[in-house]
Amino acid sequence: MLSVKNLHASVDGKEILKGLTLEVKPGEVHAIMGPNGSGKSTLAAVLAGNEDFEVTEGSVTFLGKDLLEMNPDERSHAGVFLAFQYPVEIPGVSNINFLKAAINERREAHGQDPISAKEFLQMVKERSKLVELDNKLTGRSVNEGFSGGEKKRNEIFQMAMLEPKLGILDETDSGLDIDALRIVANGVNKLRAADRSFVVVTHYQRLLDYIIPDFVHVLFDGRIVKTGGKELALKLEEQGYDWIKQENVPA
Amino acid sequence: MEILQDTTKLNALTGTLTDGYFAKVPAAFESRRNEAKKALETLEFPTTKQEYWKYTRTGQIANKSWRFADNFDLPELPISIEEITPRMVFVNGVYSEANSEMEDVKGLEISTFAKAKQGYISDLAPYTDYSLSPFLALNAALPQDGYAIRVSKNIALEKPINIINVYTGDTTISQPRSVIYLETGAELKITEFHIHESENPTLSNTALEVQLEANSTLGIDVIQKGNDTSYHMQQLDAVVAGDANFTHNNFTMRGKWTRNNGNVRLKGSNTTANLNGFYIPNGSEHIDNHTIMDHEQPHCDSNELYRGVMLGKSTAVFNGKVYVRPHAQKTNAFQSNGNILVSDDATVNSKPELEIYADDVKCSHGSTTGQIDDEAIYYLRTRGLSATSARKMMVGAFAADVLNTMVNPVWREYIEDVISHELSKA
Amino acid sequence: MASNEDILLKEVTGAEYKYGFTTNIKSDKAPLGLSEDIIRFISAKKNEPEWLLEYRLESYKIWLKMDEPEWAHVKYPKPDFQDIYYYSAPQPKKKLDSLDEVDPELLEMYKKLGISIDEQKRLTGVAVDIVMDSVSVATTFKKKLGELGIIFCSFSEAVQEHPELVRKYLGTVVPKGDNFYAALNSAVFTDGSFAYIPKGVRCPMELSTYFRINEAQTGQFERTLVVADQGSYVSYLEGCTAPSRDENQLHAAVVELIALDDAEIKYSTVQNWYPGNAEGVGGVFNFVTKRGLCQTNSKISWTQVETGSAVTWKYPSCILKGDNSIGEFYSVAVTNNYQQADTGTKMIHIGKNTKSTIISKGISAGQSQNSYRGLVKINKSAKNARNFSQCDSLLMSDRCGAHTFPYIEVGNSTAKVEHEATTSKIGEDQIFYCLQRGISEEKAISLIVNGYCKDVLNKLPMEFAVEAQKLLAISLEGSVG
Repeated sequence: MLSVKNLHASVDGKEILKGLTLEVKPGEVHAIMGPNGSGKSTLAAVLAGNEDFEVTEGSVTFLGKDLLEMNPDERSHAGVFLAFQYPVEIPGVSNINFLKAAINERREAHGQDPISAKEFLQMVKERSKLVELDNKLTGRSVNEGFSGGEKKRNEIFQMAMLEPKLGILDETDSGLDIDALRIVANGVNKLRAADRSFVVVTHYQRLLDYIIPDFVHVLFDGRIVKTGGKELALKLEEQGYDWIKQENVPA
Repeated sequence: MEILQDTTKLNALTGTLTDGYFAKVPAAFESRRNEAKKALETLEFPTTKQEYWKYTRTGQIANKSWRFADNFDLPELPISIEEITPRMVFVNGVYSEANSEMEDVKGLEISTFAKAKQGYISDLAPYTDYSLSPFLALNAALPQDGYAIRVSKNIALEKPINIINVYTGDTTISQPRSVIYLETGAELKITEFHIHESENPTLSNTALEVQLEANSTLGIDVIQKGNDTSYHMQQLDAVVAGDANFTHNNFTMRGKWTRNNGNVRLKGSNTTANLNGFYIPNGSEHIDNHTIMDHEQPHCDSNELYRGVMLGKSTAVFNGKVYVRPHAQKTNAFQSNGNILVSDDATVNSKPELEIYADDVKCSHGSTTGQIDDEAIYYLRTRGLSATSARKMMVGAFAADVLNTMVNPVWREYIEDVISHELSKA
Repeated sequence: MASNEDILLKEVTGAEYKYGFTTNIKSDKAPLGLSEDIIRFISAKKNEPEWLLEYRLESYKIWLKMDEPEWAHVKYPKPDFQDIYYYSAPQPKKKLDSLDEVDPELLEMYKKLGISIDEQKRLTGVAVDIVMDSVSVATTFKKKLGELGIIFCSFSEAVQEHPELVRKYLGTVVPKGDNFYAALNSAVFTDGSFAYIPKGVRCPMELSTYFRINEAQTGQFERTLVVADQGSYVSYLEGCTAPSRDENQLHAAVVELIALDDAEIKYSTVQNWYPGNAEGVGGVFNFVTKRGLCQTNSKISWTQVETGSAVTWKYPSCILKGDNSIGEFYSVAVTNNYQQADTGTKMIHIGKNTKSTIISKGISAGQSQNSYRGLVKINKSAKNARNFSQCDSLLMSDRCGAHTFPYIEVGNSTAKVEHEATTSKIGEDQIFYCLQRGISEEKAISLIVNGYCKDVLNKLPMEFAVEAQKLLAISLEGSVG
């Protein structure tokens, strides 16, 4: 589904990703862990097409297509969804209109008719339940005045509405209390499917108690330096990243 | 004695001028002086039809026969200046060496304007158009004396320099003219104290030109202590190079008519400029602060905070213009004007302007006019404060935001005393 | 609410001025130029009473002595006032009883504009008084309004049918010599709309007028007078579009609103006159004087969405004369390409406990210049007056300008005046967020802009809001980057 090969990316001339390789097959959940500054969020941003990051080398193929050649909205239409670490506030634009625009543009890109109001509202009603999102929030401006937990739940709600092929969760668990974390994780779990994969970027093992990954990768200094099962995450939680750093002292 | 006639033309004073007394300007200033004289031939006193003078009338100045003083003795002052050092004292625009006390400091070149070394004087380019402020032309045509300071590269002067201007006499006009030039990395603090000590009309028409080279830092506090018969026209022109910091604070402690023009040109990137002011007019006094903050380069910050406490039948004007030139991206410009109306008869005219030609900027201005919160006063009174004390406390808090920006806090107590005194009368 | 933006998203197409077509209808016009004779011609043509002719001639004399104002932040070639036709009226066929009798070409034009005076419109409860060039040609719902004693007709008709009302109120809010363009209008106005709402009557439908500059070189000098008698309420809609032309066209309208005790007037405008082409050639000069007078406990609310005209000079204002009266101004002004707008409001507080609110949202794109100019004046008599102003500017290119010139004059210590202004750029992070959700850049901008203007758009009647959103999107297309 997603194939990242030898990816190098930099921001303001500073190289952050230094040859990252990652293979994600349909239905798999990959957790990306690593110390601060290792390049986790950069990976998420580069996959979504943020222009602040420059790809200097390597390739990314998504469902057989060159992802790097696509604009952010084309990537979205192709099925890439990024749950932002810091969801953006858009004053005056209601969540519901925002989503309707997003859905209809996607349908248009796929040659489909716009969604009917009835069908749309039905969808909103069902899927907002997935993350226990208050109905009132769907009528409010996008992320404006939302608490941290509400913003994150809103991200997962949007993911449920947009039905992506690949969901990238960028530190979605950061700053959440345990209840909010459980709600968010449950939402994600309900969205797991044979043809839908996830890349879960996190700093804490805690999230992986709820979203059980198939693979855990350790990102360090712009590269994946270790890959294992969920037990790797537990080891990281217990022992921290020092042992990884020692194993990877720059030669 | 030269006399400014009852006329709309400003050049009446120059008409009868013999250059003898005013010949002391540096030679490098001569050509600018001649330009100003030429400009005066056609300039008239501004009227309220001009946008720049919309709320400030100049009739009271135009209809008086101003003369230059012939007495330069220092009168008794309400403050003791002996302990304020280093200091330069000027009486009616003329340097009083006997009352001044200066010390030699490495890297500091300080003299009167008349005796200033030539170099940088000629480099200072006039910035404000004479048609905007004809008073500036009058000063440039007939400058008296002022201070000239140059600080050498990377020299940081610790001790603030105090400039004391005293105005006396009857219908006397004084025209101090000063320059400050900071070389790269230099640092300087100045306090200017202007005091009008006469029961008769006195007019101070001052001009200060400032040039900051890269990475230098300059702070100026101007404390203007006027009275029922004083007229104060103040012009500041500052040109600020990259990475430099410039702060200028005006504390207007009364005065029948006060107009402060402050124009700052942010000529290099990553500069910071702050213009602040506090005023507490009473009676039928008029105070007008006009600023122009001209962002020419990207990544500059400017801040303006002007606050006033309005007593009696006084009038205050604030007109702040922030100008962001087309390529001055990433500009941060903030401007705020707050007024407390203590009396029913006071008037405030506030005009904070933004003129923006770049797109990636953050600019904001705010203007609020209101009164002291009655509930807060009531609350304080239930805790045992008198109405006056409660009011002083509230006004003190309001003024503190500006006073906190003072470059030389030594003078703060003096200002607070004046505020307290004015409020006790109210 | 959802459906508004839905329609918007569906209909955002074609950046060219959609309404640039000419309609062939015979005109009856005065000779070129301006003189006392022309004024007499207009007055005679309209069969006006002597007092009105006098009013015009006095205004003309005042105007002759005035200079064109230059303080606004706009630059344009001064119009040649002798090169304008001051009167042009579509050929009247005969008195119309139903829509079937209206010129089909005219109806076709309105359809292109999206203005429907057909059954659908009737069902939505809107009475339409259409001003085609200078003369009103169709009025609907008159009977229904008549039953309530509401007068809603063309200005000319009001002069004939209700001269006492017109004479009583004309020029009471905008005097003859108020300003250069108001004086010109007072001398040569041809037609406009008149509305009178009797005591205690709540007008059951939105009164609506669509203005349209049609005849080549036809100056438009509309005169609108709305009087809301004690305790009445009316919502008035004004929509403006003009066909595409190369020559600049002058528009100098005067609108006077009078809200008597306890009355309320809501006046909404959507202005989309031809802004000139992308190179800044052509376009309408829009120099308008709009002002309302509020008596005790009354309220006047101006809402405007301005996307058109090459040069706009317009300050809908409120004189809050009566105690407890309220003035509101909600504005969105968009400039693109080489458009210039200098617009804002004046809130003059005279009565006690008067309140005013100003919400102004400026959007500048291309190489345009967009200025907010406003006056808040608290007179000495205005005890406990309150004002809140919020002026925001949104920048969409690095070649445009956004300016704010607020004048705040406070003469009473019990007043509370607050003014806030911000200038910012559309956030790149906001656009990226939308892109990630699959929303294209153009649509993202449209969404963000409509969100930014929401506080103003919400004040518009529903159908106007939809049109306004469409206009915003059309005006800003292709303006990013």
